[in-house]
Amino acid sequence: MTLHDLPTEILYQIFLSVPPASIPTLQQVCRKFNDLSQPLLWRHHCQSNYHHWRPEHEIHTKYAQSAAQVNWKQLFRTRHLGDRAVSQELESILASQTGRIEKAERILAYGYDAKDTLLRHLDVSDDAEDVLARRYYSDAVLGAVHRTRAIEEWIKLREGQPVSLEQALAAFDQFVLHDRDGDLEETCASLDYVAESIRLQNPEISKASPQKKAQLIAGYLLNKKLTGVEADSQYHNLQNSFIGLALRSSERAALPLISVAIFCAVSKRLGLVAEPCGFPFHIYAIVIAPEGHDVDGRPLQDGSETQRIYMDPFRSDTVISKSDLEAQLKAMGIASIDHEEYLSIASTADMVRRTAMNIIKAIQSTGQIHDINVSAETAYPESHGALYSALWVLLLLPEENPARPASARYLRYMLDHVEQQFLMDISMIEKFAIPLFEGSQNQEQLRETIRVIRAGDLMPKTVKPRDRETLRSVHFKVGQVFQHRRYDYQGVITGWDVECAAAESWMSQMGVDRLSRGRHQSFYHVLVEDKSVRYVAEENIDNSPLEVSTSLMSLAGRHFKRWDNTSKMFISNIRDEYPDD
Amino acid sequence: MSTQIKLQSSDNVEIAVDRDVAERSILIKNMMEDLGDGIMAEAIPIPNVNEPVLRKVIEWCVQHRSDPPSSADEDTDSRKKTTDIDEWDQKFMQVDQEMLFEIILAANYLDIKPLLDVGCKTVANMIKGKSPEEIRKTFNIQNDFTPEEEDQIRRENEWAEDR
Repeated sequence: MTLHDLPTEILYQIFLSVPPASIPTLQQVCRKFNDLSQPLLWRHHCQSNYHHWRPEHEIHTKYAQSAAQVNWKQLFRTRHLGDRAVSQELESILASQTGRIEKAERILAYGYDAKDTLLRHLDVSDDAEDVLARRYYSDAVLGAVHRTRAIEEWIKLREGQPVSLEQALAAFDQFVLHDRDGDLEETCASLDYVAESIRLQNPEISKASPQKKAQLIAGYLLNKKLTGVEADSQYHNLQNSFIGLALRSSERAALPLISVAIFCAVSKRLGLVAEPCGFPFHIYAIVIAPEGHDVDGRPLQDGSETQRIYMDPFRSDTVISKSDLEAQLKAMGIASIDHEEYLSIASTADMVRRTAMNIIKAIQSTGQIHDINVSAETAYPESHGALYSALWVLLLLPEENPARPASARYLRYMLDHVEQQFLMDISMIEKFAIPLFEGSQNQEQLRETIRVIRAGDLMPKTVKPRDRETLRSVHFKVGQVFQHRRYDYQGVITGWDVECAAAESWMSQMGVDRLSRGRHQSFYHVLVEDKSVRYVAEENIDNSPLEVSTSLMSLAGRHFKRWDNTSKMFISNIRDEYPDD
Repeated sequence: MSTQIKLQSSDNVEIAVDRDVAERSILIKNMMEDLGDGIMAEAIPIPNVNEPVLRKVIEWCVQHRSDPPSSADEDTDSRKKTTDIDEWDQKFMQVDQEMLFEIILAANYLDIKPLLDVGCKTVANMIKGKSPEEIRKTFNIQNDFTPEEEDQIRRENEWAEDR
């Protein structure tokens, strides 16, 4: 009895246990082994090794086909090679500060196929030598992968291609996701699951009348806390504007708009047509009876109008009469001639815009985004990502005619965001934002700004070794954590100059010469726990020991490999710039 | 104390085992359920497994008699970590190749999935990291490709080689 003599089905079992990259080696052993690596084996390895696929693969269609119809080995090969290439680019991003934008761009070219690889790097163990840097940069690139996928949906919407309401709204989740579950695909799968659960619990639903169906669905969603918001929570909490979060949260966390979107998406899956209604200050759902039938499922006389009913899935499972809504509109002072507009179906683009405005409102109500509010920074969803998503929507889906050049109103703000926190998004700005400014002078400015950012990224850093002079005048080292003597914030030193190297205008604005040691003292580049980057005089640095905040810990990966508890310092990952620190 | 039943190996040796130990085998478990307790009076024939192998399989079942039942739907992730074999099982599997394959066949026939998994993983670990020639040597397999075929297959599979 040898391995070769084992029956095929047992050999197959063994092949399943072999790491997929070793299977090609097995195929080279003998004919029997070569014949054995059937499509089913490669399908298994595709399925168990890779969970996220770019939409172009149409992976769900492929899984539904018989294994022989798909070249699974080829597909696995594509993923395996992509996996390796993405890892190499990421290693290169970690190894040097130069050319990170282009390296990230090469990863982004793999689209959603890069997600599994990046998640694996993000999941590195706590004691890895470069744990902070690895997590920081894999998260940064993964964020860009997520955002690209979201923006692609909004571009489709802009171009008038069909995008489902739930996908257009799940795109917002992509901006605040990090390594959590609940991306666009997973949100659609959650909705499938909810619909299936309703079907299982109510086997008679397929035969129910449209009105009965709608009430069943709305009741189920409220009962499962998938719609509405908790009575004791803030209505305008940021989290209530994310459909993916609402579906995963154990509490009610869905504004009316999100509640209606969930209701419509689930209805659609159960064969009921429901659309959002763009009422002022509230969103209702419109349930539309199938042609030739009324809402109770009875046949209509020829030529009768399609019947529709209004619902408020945010609050209840009952039907709302149109006259009530009209009375409300009247009370708001809206002329009856305009009522029809507010009572008709709202476009998906409109729902996306309203969500963007809800997000901005939520952020405004919790205070300034640049406040040093550490707890808010580590909260989920984090406001920077949320605000950034809203800015993209205002840019891509303006209320006015999209054929006109886009408004530059938010652009400056957006670019600041990108430069400071979403550097990997530069190529997205080029691809998706620049064309919006066709024919306006802003386009040239934008191009120039991007050119400068790219040039800065490609330029190797000037090496700043420690010589006798710097040793004498620069007392603190890259990686030291400190408290600002006057402003109390916590930060970490990421660079230094022997004396103030800022522009004259900055020095006079900041009153550098009024400092007790003036401009001729060492100055430090620092990263602050609120994500800002600042330039601080040595006399303001208080390096007495302190507890490093969690937010600084998660940001530090931008410049540092890990925290060293013995020296109470961050270990530098910018030796290409400061070789001796 | 659990009741005992008797198993009869292919070479006609009767071995008494506790019922819960024997029921690690889904084949035996189903048989007992279908035929009722009456079957316990007589030895259950295991025609495909000889005495030394059957004793070895029983040894494994005794060790794992109180393991929680493996989940019915196969967990794809549990397969992934090939090196993931517990220490006792690793020692247990330190047998010659002949015995290893016999155990795998017996586990398959008796429907003892966790033992089959351990066996397959053991073989997989012997394969991992070896070149085709080393695999042939390890398992005494003849290279039955023509040089042209061999060359072609090698080129088709170059992508997987770790650089």
